[in-house]
Amino acid sequence: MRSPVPLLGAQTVALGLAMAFLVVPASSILLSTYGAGALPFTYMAVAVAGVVVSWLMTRAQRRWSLARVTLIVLGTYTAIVTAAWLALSLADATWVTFPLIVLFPLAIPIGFVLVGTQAGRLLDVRVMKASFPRVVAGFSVGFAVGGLAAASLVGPLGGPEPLLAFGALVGLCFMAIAAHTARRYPAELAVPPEPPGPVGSRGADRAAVISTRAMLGNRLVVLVFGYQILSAIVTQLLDFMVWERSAARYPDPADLARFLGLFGALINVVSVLFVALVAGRLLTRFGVRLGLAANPGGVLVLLVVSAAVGFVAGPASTAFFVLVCAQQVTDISLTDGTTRTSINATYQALPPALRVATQTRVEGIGVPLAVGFTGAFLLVMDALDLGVVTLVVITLALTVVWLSLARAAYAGYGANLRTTLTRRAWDPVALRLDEASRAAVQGLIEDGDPRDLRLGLEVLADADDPTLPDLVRSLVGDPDPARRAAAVAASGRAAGTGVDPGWVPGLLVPLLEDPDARVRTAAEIALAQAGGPPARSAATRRWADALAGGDPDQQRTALEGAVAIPDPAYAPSLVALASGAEPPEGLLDALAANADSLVPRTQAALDGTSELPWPATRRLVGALGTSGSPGARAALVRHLGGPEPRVADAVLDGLVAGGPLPPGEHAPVREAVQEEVQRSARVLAALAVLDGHTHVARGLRDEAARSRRRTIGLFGLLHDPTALTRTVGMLGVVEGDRPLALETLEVTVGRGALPTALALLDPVPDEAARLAQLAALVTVPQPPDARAALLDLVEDPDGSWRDPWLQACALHALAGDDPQRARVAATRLVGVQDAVTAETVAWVLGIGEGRGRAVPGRESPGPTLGDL
Amino acid sequence: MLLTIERVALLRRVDLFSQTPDRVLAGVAQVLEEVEVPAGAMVMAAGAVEDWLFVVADGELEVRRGEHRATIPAGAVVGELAVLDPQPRTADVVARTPALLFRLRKAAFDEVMATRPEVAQGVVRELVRRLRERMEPSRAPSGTELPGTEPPAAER
Repeated sequence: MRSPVPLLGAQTVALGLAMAFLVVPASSILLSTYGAGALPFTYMAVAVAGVVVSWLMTRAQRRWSLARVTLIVLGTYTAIVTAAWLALSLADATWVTFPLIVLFPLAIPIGFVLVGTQAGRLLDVRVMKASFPRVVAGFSVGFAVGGLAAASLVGPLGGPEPLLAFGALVGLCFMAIAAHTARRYPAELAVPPEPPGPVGSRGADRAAVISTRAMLGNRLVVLVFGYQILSAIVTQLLDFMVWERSAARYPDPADLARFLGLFGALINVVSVLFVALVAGRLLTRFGVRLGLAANPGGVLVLLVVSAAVGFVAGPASTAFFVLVCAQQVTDISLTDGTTRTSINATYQALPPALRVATQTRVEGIGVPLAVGFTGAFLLVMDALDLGVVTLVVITLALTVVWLSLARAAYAGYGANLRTTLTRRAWDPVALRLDEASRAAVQGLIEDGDPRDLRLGLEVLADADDPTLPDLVRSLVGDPDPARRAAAVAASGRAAGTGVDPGWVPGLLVPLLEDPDARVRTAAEIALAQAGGPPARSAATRRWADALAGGDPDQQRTALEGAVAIPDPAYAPSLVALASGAEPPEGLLDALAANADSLVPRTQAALDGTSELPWPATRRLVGALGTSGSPGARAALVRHLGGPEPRVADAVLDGLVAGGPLPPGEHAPVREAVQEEVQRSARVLAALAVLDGHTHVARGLRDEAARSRRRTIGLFGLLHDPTALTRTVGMLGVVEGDRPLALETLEVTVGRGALPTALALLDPVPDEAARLAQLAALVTVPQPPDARAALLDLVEDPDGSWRDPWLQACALHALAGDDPQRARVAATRLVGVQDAVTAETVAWVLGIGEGRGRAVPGRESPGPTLGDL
Repeated sequence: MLLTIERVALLRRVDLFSQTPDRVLAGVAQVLEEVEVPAGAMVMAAGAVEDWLFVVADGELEVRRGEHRATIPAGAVVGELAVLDPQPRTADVVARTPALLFRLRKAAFDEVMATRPEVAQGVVRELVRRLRERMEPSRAPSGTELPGTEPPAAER
């Protein structure tokens, strides 16, 4: 199937041509006949007509197919223009230019809606993002060509009126292209819409009213709304200034038409060049912040100069006229190049439902009303006989407000973007027991599955429901031990929440003799929770003894008890259990529940001052990280940048699992990020000369990957890990989502940290490009050749590598490159603690059992078992 | 005996470990046992309950179950399902050529799986591949009919 893009592009070209052949004759005749004083009335008419047309379009789209709506709209347009031409040509009815000028600002957005809707149905998202900007650019091309043609034809044709005939002809061509498009894609364009829903759809209207209220309750929505309204007002005022000054400068309609045609072409050519060559780079470099501020900022500068020139040289001067024209060229170029993209990006920061509602109301109602307001304002200006220079000053003041809104909108955009990205599909909250959910809870309790029963009982316990005691009473005699255990556990939960546990002991004491171990355990714990301090203390002592004992059943009970009632007395036994090869079930939960009492032992293990085996240390670190205890997490933060990689990684993994750190703990994290920058730079610099040494290169790449993982974790401790992880994932998508991902990364980590984040996290650059990025951040020692790099890894003179694995790989490789130097280096490493390094040292020196099968020589790309 | 570095290089060629960093594989490599077998030697016997897997570092093995034969080339793993779920071997595995094998016992394998999710993912991938080959025998690699030592479900 041939691409529909050329047909869509042809439609926008036709739209641009049609608009040029509409606005040039209509404006020149209107201004020459009635003067610029007629323009405010057209603006007010635009406001009313805009709302009416928007309503009509909505109804038409609900009733007819897109193809039919398009042809009706284009047919109506062509008929209006034809009728106007005939009226002007035959009856000199210059008043028809009034509705034509009203038609002009409405026809452009309607035309884009029709083409855009067709594109939405014919193109998938990827093609849309890639091709639709080119389709849109067709309008500028068409308008530029039309403007030049109009300027050229006005003389030979004897005036601007015949240009309307060309406009009608272009309208017919537009209809033909649209009809051809619909014939080629009937399934997408010629199918009537679904019939409207039943009476219940009134609920949708009600929802729309509600969403308007909700819409205005969102600060970002109000800011964007205000920004767009002010943008529309300033644009209209700038447009008025151009027409007013050009009408004063070119009283002859033919001269005026010639000027407006050329000026229209100039505007569109500059806009296309700006969008194609400059805007994208500006937005990529400076983001939405510049995108929102550029338009008001650029216009503001010119308004200041215009005001000065206007006061000094007067409004009739050529310099003032040029500046007024430059204002509009700047405004339209920046609107097309930066504002539209940035506003669309800002909308992304809103939740989807709010986004659609805001866009619809801004573009459907807000902008037309802004244009109408401008018309009324200009009438007041005219009545007060305030000249165009005063208008420049007033526009300048409005632009200052517009610029302020740009800054505020950017600040709101950042906050909303983070919130929108981190909004989870669900958030774990306590289940609330209301009338609607009570039936569901009852269903859970009556269900045969003990897990459902447990959940139902937990809900009742958390809600302090008065039916819980009777329910538990009925369940403690249940023949199913799992159901009995669930009932007992719920009792303990109710007691643990501080609710009056008076009914618990009487029910549960008999269950201490229950034949089922789970029931006995649950009863013991629930009684301890309900029994007050003496019972808790006795239970704690009992469980501490059980943890140290060897009975697995008692240990299991004690571990559950340790979770329910944490106590420092458990610490030595918990650490001993964590040191085992296979930790008992429930140990990790018990460790996390008692994290605060385990901090000293964990710190001693991380400091290397205790003999705790590594599996135990890892488990303790994991427990402290996920415990949620601020003290426990703060204890871990000190070890983020420890010398031993596995310790540093375990600490980081443990902390990341517990979520972001409070601002007071950020300093060590930022130091750790800087260490990753240094390390990554050294790794990449070594890789640049060691790529041919397979083992070492692979080890270095593993290290680079490790550094990237650590950086994600570290930034996740500083900012929101969910947003960060999603954003980093989006960075890998080169087209489409990448610009938004870059924007989001900047909003998340801040402009100052963005270069660091990109250098370490962006998956797109290759190793050489990444090294260049890192070299801009830190001083990178560049080894001159492979031998120097290998020696640096082996000898590690400044202790910056501290990596036994890379050391061993480098020594192995050096033995192939330079056996003599390798022997010297190996001699210095005799007695090293790391087993792999020691083995490699022995192999190089050719002593003991360290002799490997591979013969010291040039390192081959793969194992050389066959080359013995 | 191979150096740890060389063992790691061999382990990286195995799908199960291809995503695991070398320094982690070094830990695995240090607990591997090198086993050299001559051609024709029985590596695994049907009915034996064992809790280890073999990585074929060099040479070829052959799985024999009745009339069916399957070749295990260098770089492959055999017996990993028994490490996950120790059950009696259901096929004989014999060395077709002189072979160098790495034996990895259950305890070490469990530790690696617990700490390195990439290895667990590799196991899942291997299980899925085996399942697909059983369900669609035409997809089995040429020269093999019943890869692995697991019996079809219908035979249990």
